[in-house]
Amino acid sequence: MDRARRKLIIPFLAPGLLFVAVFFMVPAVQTVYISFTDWYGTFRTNTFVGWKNYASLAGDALFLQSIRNTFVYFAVSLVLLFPAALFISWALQRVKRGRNFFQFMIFAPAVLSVAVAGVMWKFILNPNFGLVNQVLRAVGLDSLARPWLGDPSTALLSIVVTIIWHGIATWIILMMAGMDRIPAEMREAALVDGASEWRAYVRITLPLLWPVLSTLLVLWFIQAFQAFAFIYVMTQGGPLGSTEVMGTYMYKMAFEGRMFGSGSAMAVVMTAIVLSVSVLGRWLLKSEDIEY
Amino acid sequence: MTAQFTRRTVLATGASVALLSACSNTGPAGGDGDDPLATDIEIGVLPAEGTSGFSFIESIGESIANDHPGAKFTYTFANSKVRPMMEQRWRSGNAPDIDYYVFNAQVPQSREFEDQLLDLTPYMDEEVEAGGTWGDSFLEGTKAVTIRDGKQFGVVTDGHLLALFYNKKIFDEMGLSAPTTWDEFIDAGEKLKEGGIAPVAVTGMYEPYMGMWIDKLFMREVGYQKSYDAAYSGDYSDPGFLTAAQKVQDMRDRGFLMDGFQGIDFTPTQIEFFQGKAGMILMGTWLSGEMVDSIPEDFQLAVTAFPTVPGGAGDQEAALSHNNILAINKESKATELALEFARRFTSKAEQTRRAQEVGTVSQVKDVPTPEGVEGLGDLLDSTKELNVRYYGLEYSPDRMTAYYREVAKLFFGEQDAEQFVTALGEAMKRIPN
Repeated sequence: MDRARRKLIIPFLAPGLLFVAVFFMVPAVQTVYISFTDWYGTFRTNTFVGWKNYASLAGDALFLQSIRNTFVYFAVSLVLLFPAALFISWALQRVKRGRNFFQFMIFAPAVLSVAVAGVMWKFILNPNFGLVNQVLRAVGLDSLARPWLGDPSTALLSIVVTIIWHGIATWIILMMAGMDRIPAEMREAALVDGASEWRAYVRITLPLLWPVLSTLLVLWFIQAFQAFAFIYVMTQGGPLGSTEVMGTYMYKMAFEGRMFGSGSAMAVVMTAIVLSVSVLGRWLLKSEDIEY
Repeated sequence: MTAQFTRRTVLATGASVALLSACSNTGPAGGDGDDPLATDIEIGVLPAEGTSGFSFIESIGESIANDHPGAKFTYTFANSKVRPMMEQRWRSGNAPDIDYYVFNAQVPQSREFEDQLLDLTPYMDEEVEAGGTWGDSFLEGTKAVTIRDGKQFGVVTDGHLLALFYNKKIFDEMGLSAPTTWDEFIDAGEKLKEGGIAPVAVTGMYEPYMGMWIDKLFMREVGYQKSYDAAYSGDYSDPGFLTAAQKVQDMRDRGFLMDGFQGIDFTPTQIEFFQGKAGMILMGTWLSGEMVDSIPEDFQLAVTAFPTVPGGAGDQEAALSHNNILAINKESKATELALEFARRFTSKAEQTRRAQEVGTVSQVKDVPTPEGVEGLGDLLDSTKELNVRYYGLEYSPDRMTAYYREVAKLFFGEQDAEQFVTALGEAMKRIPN
């Protein structure tokens, strides 16, 4: 690249770089610095405490529980979200009549704010007058009725279902976009050769979709670690900490307890986990590029 | 030439006006130089703009401004959400003239600014319009939260007690009376159960609200101070702690807690109480104001002190409470005006008006309680000591989370009383002070 072109690039890059530096790099460096202090929102008590905040986290049972819950949340939501999104995106491509109606039904929840959707599901899951338990009782399945959000064994699952209900449309759109890239002739040729719809899907569509899916898996992992809003609205981490994830615990420490030093240390740990698992995940899930 | 003349004329006129203004500005902020109250003041307020609570505070400012032309009030929102900013202002020497949350005698973390606060002790001897001294006008119980080492650093503008609310209509129909002792509470609960009504409404989704029960029982069995100390040291060796926990376990095992309480948030819990599905609820005296739109017209709400524990070594006439304490900045340039504002705000006349208009529970003697809650006046009169709720754990979130999580396990049946006391002690020891 000649010197003249290089000079031309600098003014174009400068605004973006400045933006990233001011709104990302500086806060990130500040967060790391604060994690080594006992700062709790004001200047005077900003004392350097070394690794103390990190050592406290290592012995904090609630923090360790929040890490475990975050991974459980990721795994459970992965198992529920991806097969459902794959199936619906496939079905929406096949359906001939009423496609707009089905699309509307699936995409409608996405327009609700998290707060509205969270409160609505709190009522739906209310043990005494909630829709879920009323339906169960009406069909004679009384034994299955329970305090969904109040039972440590079902609270996280209930929240995962709510989050998937609310956000599945986004993943369906991304998967449909991936499927649209696959030439229709390949599937049609397989069907002409006698392959069943299922076999064509498993042997042709899924392998060709894998590059998109592997990226979505990593994205979902990152999103899982950012889980906060629904949990905060619906259970605030309870009952008994069964829905406490890293995001909610960090928020409580930093913004409710004003222990910004501990909160920042949690943020650093969280970022380290997300970065390392994302890089590892990309490496593990990487596949040969398929030309078509 | 003409232009120069014009410019010179304008400059001269401007300078004359400025000089005249400066000469006439003899007071601190342009008010009447003889009146120390004719000055500017910044007041931290807890209600948000547009609420009846804020309008009430504004009206006090207006009444002072009418009597003292030149007094100018600026109101700054000072509620919990803006505390980091307000604390920063205190630390940088730019605090408002009046603020909240900067002092509570029972909460060590809130006493950081004590040296910057005006000692109100000398002013407490002043006569007030309603008779007696300013200091004597407050309920006896407020002293525990406003006086430390003999010095008074704040006055309570309003407060809420945690007390046992009950459905009086149901109680009357079943021939029950308000339980005054724990045994009476158990008897009442059993009769309610026989009548198909859940004895106790409690939410399982906000752990500190379950914690109110154990906090109250700890206070009755071993006393406030010992319970407070234990919450920070983890020393729960006093057998009274176990006795208190056993009472909660007994209540749980008898099936007193509303069905599905684990999964019902606090507002739906309160709604179920007001729908007559539960007979009692332990809640702050904010309950009636908070739920005013959800209380059926024929609902008879009554309140009584938390049952005593005869033979208990703790405080039987004390209550856990949340008090809003007004404090004055010692460095304020408007000390006289700040004092006048505090005096009027806490006067019997204004507190009575506030109770009627805003429904606030006053901590000033002889102020009528808000209408619609039977027994509230007696409750306030019979409470001899107000202690800060949650043992001040609100100021230590990691400790608070760990503390009430153990309480939740007890309520949820995950552990029995003995396991609870052991686990609570270990949890409190584990967290550094």
